[in-house]
Amino acid sequence: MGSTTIPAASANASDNWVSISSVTASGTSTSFTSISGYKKLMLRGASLSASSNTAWTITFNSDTGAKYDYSYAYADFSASSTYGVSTVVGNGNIAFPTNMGSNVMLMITINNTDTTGLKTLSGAWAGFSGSNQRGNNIIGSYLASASISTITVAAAAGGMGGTLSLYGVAI
Amino acid sequence: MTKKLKKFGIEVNVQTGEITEVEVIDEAAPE
Repeated sequence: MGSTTIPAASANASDNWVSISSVTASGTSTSFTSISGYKKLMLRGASLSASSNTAWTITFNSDTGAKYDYSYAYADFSASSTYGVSTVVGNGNIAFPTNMGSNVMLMITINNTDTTGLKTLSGAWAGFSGSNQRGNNIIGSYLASASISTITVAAAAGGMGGTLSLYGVAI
Repeated sequence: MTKKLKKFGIEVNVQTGEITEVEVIDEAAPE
């Protein structure tokens, strides 16, 4: 009777997130460049800040074409009447729905980052806008054929601070 | 007259760890 061998799990049968880079955010934008070899990426921001309440955006590959589709739910925790769901189609970036200036936390996961097909993303962020605390979650897609090699987080007012970290799952 | 301000950001090369300051193109500003 032959022996039965349980096949070894492939190296990446499950996600094994590794730290790629971590940096103190600075200026008007902070970018991770020369990213390669990862099928999933996760962008995390801790205690991000800007010089004032301002528009925050995320772009991939410095691409500002109309390739970002997403839907988000938002809530203002200090004004319970302010909440809702919105959909954005064909935008030139992923724009935070609320201007925020301090204590911005974010976590965005992007899938299929090494393929030529559609990239999907999901995540959430929260932060302070004056005395108001805002929270948002997001699901969306980036309609581009190139694999993702650059991720940029920008705060229009500049004066960025806090920590941006990038994690990945190797191919 | 509109004054166009230069904006700067940083790029982190995740392969080398090198951090460089870059000028950010402000597309909203007039030419």
